[in-house]
Amino acid sequence: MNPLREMSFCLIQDRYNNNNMKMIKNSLIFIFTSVLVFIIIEIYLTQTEIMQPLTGEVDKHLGFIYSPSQDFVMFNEGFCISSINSFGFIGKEYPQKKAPNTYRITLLGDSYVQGLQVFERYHFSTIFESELKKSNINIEVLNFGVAGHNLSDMYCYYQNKVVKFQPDLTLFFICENDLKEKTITEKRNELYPYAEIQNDSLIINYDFTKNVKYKIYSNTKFLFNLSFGRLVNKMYINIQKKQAFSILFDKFYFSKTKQQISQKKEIDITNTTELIFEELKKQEIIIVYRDTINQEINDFITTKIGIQKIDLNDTLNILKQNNEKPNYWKITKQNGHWNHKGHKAVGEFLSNKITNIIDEMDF
Amino acid sequence: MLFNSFIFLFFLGIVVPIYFKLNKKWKKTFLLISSYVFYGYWDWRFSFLLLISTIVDFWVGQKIDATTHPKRRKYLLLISLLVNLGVLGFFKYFNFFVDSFQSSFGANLDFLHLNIILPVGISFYTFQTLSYTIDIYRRKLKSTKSFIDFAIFVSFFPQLVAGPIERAVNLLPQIKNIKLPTKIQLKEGIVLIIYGLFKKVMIGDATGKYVDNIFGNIEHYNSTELMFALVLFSVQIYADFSGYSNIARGTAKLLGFELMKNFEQPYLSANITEFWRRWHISLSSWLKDYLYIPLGGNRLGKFRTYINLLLTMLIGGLWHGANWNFVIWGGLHGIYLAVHKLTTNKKIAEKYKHVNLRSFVVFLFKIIVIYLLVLLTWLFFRTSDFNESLFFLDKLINWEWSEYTIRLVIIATTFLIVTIFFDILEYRTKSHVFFLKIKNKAVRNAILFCLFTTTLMYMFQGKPMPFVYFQF
Repeated sequence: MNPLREMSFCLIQDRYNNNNMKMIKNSLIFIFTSVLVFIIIEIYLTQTEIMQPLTGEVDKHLGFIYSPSQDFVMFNEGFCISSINSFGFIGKEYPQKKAPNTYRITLLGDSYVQGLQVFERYHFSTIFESELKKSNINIEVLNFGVAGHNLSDMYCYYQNKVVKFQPDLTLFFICENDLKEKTITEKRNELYPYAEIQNDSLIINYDFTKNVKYKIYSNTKFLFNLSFGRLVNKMYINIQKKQAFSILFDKFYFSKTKQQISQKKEIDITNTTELIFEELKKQEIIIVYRDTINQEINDFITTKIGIQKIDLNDTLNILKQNNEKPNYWKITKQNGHWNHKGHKAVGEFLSNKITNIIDEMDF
Repeated sequence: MLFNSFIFLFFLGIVVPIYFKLNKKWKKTFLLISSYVFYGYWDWRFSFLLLISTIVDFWVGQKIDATTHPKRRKYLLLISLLVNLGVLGFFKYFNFFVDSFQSSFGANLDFLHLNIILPVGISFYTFQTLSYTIDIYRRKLKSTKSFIDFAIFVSFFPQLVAGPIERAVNLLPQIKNIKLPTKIQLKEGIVLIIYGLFKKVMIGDATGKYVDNIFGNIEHYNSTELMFALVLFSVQIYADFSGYSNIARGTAKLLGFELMKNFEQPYLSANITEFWRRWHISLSSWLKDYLYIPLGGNRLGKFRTYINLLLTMLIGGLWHGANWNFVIWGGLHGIYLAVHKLTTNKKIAEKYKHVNLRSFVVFLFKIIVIYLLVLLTWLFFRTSDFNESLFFLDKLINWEWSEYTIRLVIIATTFLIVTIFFDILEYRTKSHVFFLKIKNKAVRNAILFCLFTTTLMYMFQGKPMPFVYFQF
C-alpha cells in the first residue's frame, strides 16, 4: 500500500476510534449522572411525601393488602396524612391480644369506612371511640375498612384477619352495591380471595394465588416502595382508566359521555350472599347501612336472617335536609365520601346506638 | 392554555418550527394569531377585550404623539386611563366595592351584584398597555406606526397572562426588528423552560396540594399544621410564579425575544428594600415608575416619602385582587419599607456583600428575619378574609402541636432546602441558566433530562394546577 495512503488511513482510523471512545465515555457519564440525579429526585419525592399514596402487597390469605408500617399522604376529595400500623390497619397500634376488661369493636367496610379523606382525629371511628370512652367503658375501635371491599371481601377479611383481634362486636358497613352479584364476581379476576358455595357450604376460594398478576405483584413489591415506581404505576392507572387522553389533549379530547342507565333494578340476593349473612349471624355483628338500602334487602337482613342493623341514613338525611351536605368537598368541588361533618354525624350517631347496645349487654 | 400542560408543549412544538420557516412579514402575523389562539383557548370572548384595549391604546398613542398641545395630550392620556382602568375596575373590583359599600353603610345592594368571570391576565396586560401610553405622554417613547407590532406587544403569548409586565421600550423594538433566535438563545430558552417547569410542577404544584387543602379548611387544622401550610405557601408562590416567569422567558427566547427577569432570589434578601428589588421585579418597578415617582417619590421630604411608599404598596396590594386582605398585605409591606427607610441612613445596596464568616452569619440572620417578616404578610395574602386571618393568628398565638409534627417539619424543610438550593446556584452564578455553566455536556444534558422526565411524569398524574397569579 502507498505509505501516504496508509498513514491517512491510520489517522482516520485513530480519529474514528477516538470518536468512538469519546462517545462511549460521554454515554457512561450521561448514564451515571442520570442515575445519580434520579436518586436525588427520589429522595426529594420521598421526603416531601408528594408521591406517598397507600401502597400495598399481596398476601396469600388476604389478597391485596396495605403494606404494614407505612406513612402515607392522600390527596383525593379531601386530604389525609396518616400511617398504616404494624398490624396493617389505620389507627392506633392495638395488639391482636385484647387486654382484659376491654370491649373491642372492629369496623369492616369500603372506602367510606377507611375514610382517607380526613385526618384520623376527624374520622368517625375516633369520634365514636372517644364518645364511648366517656361512659367509662374501656373501649377500643379498630378500623379495618379497605377501599373497594364488597360483602364477600369483608367476609374473607373478617375470617382471615379480624377474628384474630378478638372483637366483641363487629360492624359491617354495607351499601346495595356491595351485595350485587356483578360487583362480587367482577373482583374474582383480581387479587382477592372470595366466598363461594361448594357442596352446599360456604368456603373461601384462594385461586388468586395462581394468577400471573399475583406473581408479578409478589416479585415487584420493592418497586412500589419507590416514589418513581408509584409515579409509573399512577401513569399506568391513568392509561388504563383512559384519563391519559384527557391529560394529554385537554379540550381536544372528546370523551364519550356514558348515558346514565337507571339502576333501579332490584338486587337479587344470591345464595352466596345469603350464606354469608347466615355465617355472620353466628358472630357478634351488626350490619350498618352506610347508604340507602332497598326494602327487600332490609327485610331479608333484619327479618329473614335476623341480624341487627343500624341505618346511617337516619342521621345523614338530617344533615342533608339542613343543607349541610355530608358528602360535599368544597376544595375539589365534588360530591364523594363523607366530609368532616359527615364523619362527625356518623361517629356521634354510632356512639349513641352502640352505647345502648353495650348497656343492654351490661358490660 | 397553561404552561404546565401537555397541550401547551404541543402548541409550542407546532408554533416554533412554523415561526422559523416564515419570512419577517408573516412571522409577525403568525405570532399575533398564535397569541390570540393561546389566549382564546381559555375563553374566546375575552379576546375581544384584549382587542379593544389594543385598539384604544394604539389610537391614543398615535394621537398623543401627533399633538404638542399639553391639554389635548392630557385628555388623550385620560381616555387611555379611563378605558383601561375602567375595564379592569369593572371586571375585578365592581363586586368588591359594592360589598364594601354595603357592609359600611348597611345598604342592600344585592341587586347590583354581577356574576362576572375575571378575564385571565387582565391586570398584567392593562398595566403593560398603560405604560405604553404614559411613556408616550412623558415623551420617553415614540408611538409605533404599525398596528400589528403594537398588537403583538399587548398580546405576546409568553408573557400575556402573568407577565413579566414588559415595557414598550424593551419589547417594541424587538418586535419591529423581528428575527430568529441565536443558538445561545435557543439553548437558554430550552434550559429556562425545563427549569421553570420543574420549579412550577415539582415544587409549586407539589406544595400547592398541601397548601390548598389546609387553607381551604383552616378550621380543621391545628397551629403546627397551619404554620406548615404557611411556610409551604411561601415556597409555593415563589416556585409557582418564578417558574412561570422562567417558562415565559424561555419561550420568548425560542422566538428570538428577550424578556426582563421577574425574580432574583428574593428569599436571599438581607433587607426588605432588597426583597422588593428581587420579588416580582416587573410589577415593583412598574409601581415605582408610574406610581411612586409621580406621587413625589422621595423628593418631597421624609414624611411624604413614607406616605408615598405606603400608598404605593397599598395600591400594589389592591392590584392583586379585590380583597381587603391584599390591602393589608400591601400595607404591611409599605410599613416595612417605610421603617427600613427610616432606620437606614445609607444608600441601600443592590445586594448584601459578605466578606468574612462574621458578616456571613449576620447575612444569614438578616435573611431569616426578612423571611419571617415576609411570611407574616403571606398569611394575609393567602387567607380568604380578615376573619380567617384572625383565626389563623389566634391559632399561632395559642400554639398546639400536631401528631404529625416531625413529618411536617421534614416535608417543609425539604421543600425549603430545594428551593434555596436553586436560589443559591442562581445567586452564585448570577444566572437563571446556571445549568449551562456546567462544562461537561453529558453531565449537563443528563441533569436536564432527569428534571424534564420527572416533571413530565408528574404532569401525567392528573390535570394541571393553574398558576397562583392567574387569579390576579
